[in-house]
Amino acid sequence: MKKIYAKVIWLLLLFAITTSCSKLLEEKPLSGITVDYLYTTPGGLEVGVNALYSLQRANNTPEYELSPLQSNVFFMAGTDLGLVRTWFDPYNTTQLHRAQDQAWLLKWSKPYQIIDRASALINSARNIQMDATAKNKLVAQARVIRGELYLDLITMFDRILLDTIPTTPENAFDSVTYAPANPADIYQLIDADLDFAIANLDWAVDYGRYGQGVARHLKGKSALWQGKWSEAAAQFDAIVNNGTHHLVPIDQVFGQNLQHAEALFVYTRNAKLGPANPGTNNGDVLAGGGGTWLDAVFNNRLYELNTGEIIQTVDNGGQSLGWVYPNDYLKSLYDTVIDRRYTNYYYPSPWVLTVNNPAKPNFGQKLPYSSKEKDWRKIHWSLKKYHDADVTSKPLSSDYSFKDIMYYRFAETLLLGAEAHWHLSGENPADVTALQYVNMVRARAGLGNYTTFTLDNFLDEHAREMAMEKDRWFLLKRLGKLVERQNLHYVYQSGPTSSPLNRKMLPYMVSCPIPQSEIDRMGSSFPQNEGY
Amino acid sequence: MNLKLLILIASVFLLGVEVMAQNKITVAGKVTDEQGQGFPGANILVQGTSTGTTSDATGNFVVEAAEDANLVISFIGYKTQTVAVAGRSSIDISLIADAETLAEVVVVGYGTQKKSDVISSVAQVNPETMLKVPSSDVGEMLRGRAPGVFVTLSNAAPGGSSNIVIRGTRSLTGGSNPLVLADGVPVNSINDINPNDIASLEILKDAAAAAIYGSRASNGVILITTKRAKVGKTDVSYNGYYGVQTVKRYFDTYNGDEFANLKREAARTANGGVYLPDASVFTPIEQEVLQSRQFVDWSKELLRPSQYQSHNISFSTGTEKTTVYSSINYMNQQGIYPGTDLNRVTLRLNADQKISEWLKVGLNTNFQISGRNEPGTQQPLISSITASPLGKIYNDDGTYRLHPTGVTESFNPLLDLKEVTNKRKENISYINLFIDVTPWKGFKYRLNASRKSGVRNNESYSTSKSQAGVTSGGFGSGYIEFRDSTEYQLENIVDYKKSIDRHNLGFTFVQSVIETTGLYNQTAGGLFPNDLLGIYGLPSAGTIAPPKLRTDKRDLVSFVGRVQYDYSGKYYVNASFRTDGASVFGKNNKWANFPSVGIGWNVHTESFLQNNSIVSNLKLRATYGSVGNQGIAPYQSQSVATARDYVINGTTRISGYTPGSILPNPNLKWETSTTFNAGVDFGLWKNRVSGTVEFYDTRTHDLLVRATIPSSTGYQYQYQNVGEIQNKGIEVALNTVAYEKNDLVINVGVMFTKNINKILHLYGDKNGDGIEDNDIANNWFIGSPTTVQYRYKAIGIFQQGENIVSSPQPLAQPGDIKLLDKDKSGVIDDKDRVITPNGVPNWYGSIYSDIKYKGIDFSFNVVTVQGITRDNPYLYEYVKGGSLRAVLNGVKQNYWTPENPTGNWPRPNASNDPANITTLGMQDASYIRLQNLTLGYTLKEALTSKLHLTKFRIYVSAQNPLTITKFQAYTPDRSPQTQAQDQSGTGGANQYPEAISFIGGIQVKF
Repeated sequence: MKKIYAKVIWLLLLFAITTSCSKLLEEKPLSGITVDYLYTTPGGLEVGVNALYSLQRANNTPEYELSPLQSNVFFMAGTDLGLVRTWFDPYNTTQLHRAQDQAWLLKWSKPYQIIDRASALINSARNIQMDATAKNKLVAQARVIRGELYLDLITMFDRILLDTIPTTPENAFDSVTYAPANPADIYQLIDADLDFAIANLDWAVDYGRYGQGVARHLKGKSALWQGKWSEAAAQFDAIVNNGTHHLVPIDQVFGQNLQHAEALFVYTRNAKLGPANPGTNNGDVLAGGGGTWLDAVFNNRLYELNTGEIIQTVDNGGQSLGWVYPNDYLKSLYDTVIDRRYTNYYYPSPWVLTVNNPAKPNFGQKLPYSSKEKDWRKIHWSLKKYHDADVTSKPLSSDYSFKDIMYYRFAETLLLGAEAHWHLSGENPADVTALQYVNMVRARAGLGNYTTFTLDNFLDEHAREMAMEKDRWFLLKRLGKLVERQNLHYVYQSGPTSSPLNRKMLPYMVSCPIPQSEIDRMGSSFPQNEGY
Repeated sequence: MNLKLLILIASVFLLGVEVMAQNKITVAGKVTDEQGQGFPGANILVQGTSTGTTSDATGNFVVEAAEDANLVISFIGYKTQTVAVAGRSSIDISLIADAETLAEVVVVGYGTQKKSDVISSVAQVNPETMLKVPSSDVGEMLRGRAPGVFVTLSNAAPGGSSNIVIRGTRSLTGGSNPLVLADGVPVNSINDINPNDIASLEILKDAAAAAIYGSRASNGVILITTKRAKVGKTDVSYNGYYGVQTVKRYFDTYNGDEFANLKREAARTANGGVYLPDASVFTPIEQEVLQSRQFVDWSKELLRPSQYQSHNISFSTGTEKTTVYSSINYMNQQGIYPGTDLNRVTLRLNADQKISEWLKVGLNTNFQISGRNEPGTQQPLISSITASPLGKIYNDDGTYRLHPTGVTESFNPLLDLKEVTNKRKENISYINLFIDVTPWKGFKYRLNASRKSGVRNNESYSTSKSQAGVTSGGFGSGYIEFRDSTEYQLENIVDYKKSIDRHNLGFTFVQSVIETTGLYNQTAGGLFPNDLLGIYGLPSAGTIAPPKLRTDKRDLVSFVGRVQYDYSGKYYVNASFRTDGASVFGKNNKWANFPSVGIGWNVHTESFLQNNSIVSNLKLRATYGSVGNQGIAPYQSQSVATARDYVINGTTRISGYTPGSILPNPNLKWETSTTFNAGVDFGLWKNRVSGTVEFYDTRTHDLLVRATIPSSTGYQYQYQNVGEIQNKGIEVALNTVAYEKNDLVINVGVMFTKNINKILHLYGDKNGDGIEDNDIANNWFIGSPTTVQYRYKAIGIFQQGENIVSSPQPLAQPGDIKLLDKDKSGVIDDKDRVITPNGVPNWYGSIYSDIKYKGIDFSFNVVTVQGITRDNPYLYEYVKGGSLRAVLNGVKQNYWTPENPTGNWPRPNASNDPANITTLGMQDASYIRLQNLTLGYTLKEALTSKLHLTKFRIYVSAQNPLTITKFQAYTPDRSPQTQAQDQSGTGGANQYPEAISFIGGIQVKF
């Protein structure tokens, strides 16, 4: 009896430890925050908007190389002013210029991602209880970013989607007919977003944030694309007249410190807030960002000369790549003696350098012309606009730079303002404001005034001022000159002795290819741009 | 419910030990074996009571029993005998080995079965054959040992592991790793277990066998049972070996002269076909080396033969009440890459305590402490291929030259040897307590409670002189990281067996809860002011990145039921059912059900085969069931925002959060694999030839897929349950005793597996063209295997004089790759891409043989994988020296030049990668490998006993001495990483060269 009693006790005891709490199955994230926070609280709205800057930085000035960098360098170098030596091949119909190329996928998908996040914040902000001014300032930043992105998308791809409803798991699979939006609707949204931003953003803002200046600059661009000349002129005039932004001395424009009046918008980085080792490709999620290769990409490798007379220094850019360069046509546009931009925006010609390797007998003497090699990797005219003069931000033997990157600046405002007034005046070559604006830019460069304003001399001045920044490709496309000028001047060639490879830009290429994978995902109802 | 508390309570129960006894008359006797030697450890039980004893070391026993009682004498592997006492006070018994039941017990989910009763697909791997493979990786020991089990190398570095795929890939993203349980407790890695401790290893392959493990069992289940002590026997054994490893790589690189020629050709092409003078082609260093002809063989400089050793001591003893098995294993392995090594100690203690006739408690513990050095081997290993043989190792001052030829893309592979350290320390512990209650005949209840924990810590540092240090301006950088995971499992297992006449019934019921928590934390720093403290100087680092931190928790609640019925060991019907609730599933889909059924027929027991002299065993069996795969990480069904900070005003950090690129899915659920399995087990001529043939068809549906969704949603991916995959195959295992005469025994076995892996459905027909849509972005195609490449196909090289202009590639030059115009449209476009399976074998198999002659034993094992292609980035990627630009050295190919029109690789070009070079990446990776060769000698018994030993064996063994393959990499077993994988750090250090090993070892038993 005793034994049975004990057995039963044991069984009951042990069996009692049966658990089936369905509470165990509830899941709560422990080390991430839920999106509810972003869309229901003032603090959430603020951190949500801050994150948009980080996303945009990775979109427009990404760390490291490969497709993310190519998708941006394409617009910098794939113009009438560029020379591509290696690494990628713009306008090659079997490589880059295909609907399959990863670069186009990035330029399509990243903007839509950021637009969705911006829209989610813009829409949810309506229900957040907080100080209206503060809220509007935050929403204005989200809206200027959304407007900017839609302007990028439509000017790159022409056929795009319009979707301002943020995606949630609930609406993600609502039946959608994917069809290109009417451009007028797109521009209406862009203008509405930018108008809101103009109304709510201050002129003077923290360095690195969007202010009223950049909002107006973008609105002016939008107006130019729509042929609304007076609106464009008004926006550019407002920036000029306000005075917050103005031209700075030429040596400061791309100096180490970009926190100056000419900057309308700058993507900021900070090595100390970046990854521990910049060589690892995961820095763009961090506050300081990851290192970019923009400096290295545009600079030759003089330190590789067979004579060994040049060693890496901060002045000559340290480690570099020499993949893409400004071309000879661009060089021909400069008065290399007078134009200050020639000496400030570009690395000096090797033949003015002195031998800086102390181990060489001719140390300190001028680099002899006999050291010249027929290899553009080592020796070529190089762009200095992204030069990083701080050895802690770009160590000598590193391709990675944490220098801030100028993105929109006042000189462009003046040039576009000039163009807007010229259009507005019925293309009057003597338009006073047009001449005034363009001559401000010329004067700073040390050049005399234009007395007439023509499309050609405007484009020449734009080339000299804005070369290898991102706007040239779009400007030419907008003016219908892209194909013609690109085919005249763009170079794809590996060295002076190799023959230039014929990269003919075909007329359809003014519209970038819509990524094939996206068309596939949309169920093929969305039409590809003609030609691809 | 607090699981920790429960385990504490359970352990308190362990402390109470009490014994009861009864008295009758005293019977003394002796148990002997067939040779008349005393038999220790035999069980003597008074029938119908709980009274019993075991024989002592000389075979003697004393037991008290009623005069008319029967004694039941038993020992595993011997025929049980029943002897009537009939008033005698002295009884001697001789035990006879039972050839049929010897080692014929098969471990199945939550229990064991006689082999003849098993009707599902369960493969056993003999632990002794496993131990023939001298490796720190148990996965490697399973290669070629069971049909349907496909083992590939994951990481060849010391302490690395293998991928084990059972019956094909069933998941697109949910993972293919089988569930591994040791004594009923899930283990993180099969290598957490000391292979010397393994008493049996079973692989549950079909759904019916695995269904009892429900939502974790889709990829099959490996059940490991560890050794336990036997009552009345005390054993001490030592098993150790020492060996050396050397490198084998399956490719050549260009030597000095060849590389110089390649460089001249590449420069010539870039120069419009005109050769340049050497002075323009080569850097000053290269010119110097070309003069001196002091070419460098970088791989010889970098890699070394290395030594490794393993020592194992186990101790096992048992009394009637208490048995204890304990072991210690020490493994030390140096890698063939200098600076890599593994030191690992594994300890085990398995104890059983009988408290009363109906109550037993047991304890299994396993501790593993390991330390590994694995400095960043990936880049130096690539550099050892890509560094120019025309370079110089050292600077004039004797330090390593950063860029051996002065070209900045090419780094000195030796640079980081002394400058990069990465120490990884790991502590793994398993504690498993169980209480068995057997109050009534046929009824067994077990409470099984376990805790496992793993703590891993990595310390990594690159000095200011390392490659990373030099490129970051002469500063050190590094990180410290911690990983901690803990899992509690609590199971109530009830088992009831009942026989009525010839009807045998078994019931099993299990209720189980598992909770797993994990924490990961990393702090990284850069710009270290000096290298004095290494990584411990982290607090003073110039930059300290925001710490990475992840923590998660997952729960699984389950109920299991199983019924087993057989009629007289002849006809079998089994059925089981499991329901799982898992926290990782979406909130709308928490619970999953997994049923299975099986039938079997032991044909040889039928009367019409009884008097047959040929067929000694014939079983037909068929099963059908489903299992799941919950291979999703916690929180994937939810919307979580991650940090995305920014900087303003130069230095001010502002906080940012944003949802990632994955759209949450509240309906996310498990994948279900349903398998039909049919098998025949046969034995002929008293099982002299025996084997198994199995056919299976597994359909996996509701695949967990990271589906790409239109970017216009703002998201790129969503985890979804879509589609269906089929794995259909046939497995054959055949074993014969080919020769058995005059002390010579030759045993030969063959295994063959063919699996056809195919995607049947994905997202349906979304675009309405009547054809189901493929997922091109993920390389998933209806009707193709799960892993394929989708590329243009190279069909040759354009020749001079060929009419290129009117070809589909009018812009091509002679020496360019000619592509297949699949649809003959006259242009190369999207539709010309072809699907090539990547890493999917047509079939694989093995042949093994064991030969014994007196004290000598010899065995070998040959494995082969056939009809497999893999992607090989060494053949096309610039950074891996594959693109013939001659900036970097690379894997040697027969490239085209105007003078060498038969070259099958494109014309080198210094300025750019040859167009479409990636199309050359798919390479035949079939191989035949002599995997293991062992020769041993066991000392004669007479000699052994003089030495006071029970066994003494010495052996030599070679591992991987010969491999025949066309795949140009460090192993035919795995695709080298692509640049994208290198960058993202996915895929492990799989460039690590696979080694060839030679060892000598001894086995001693006291």
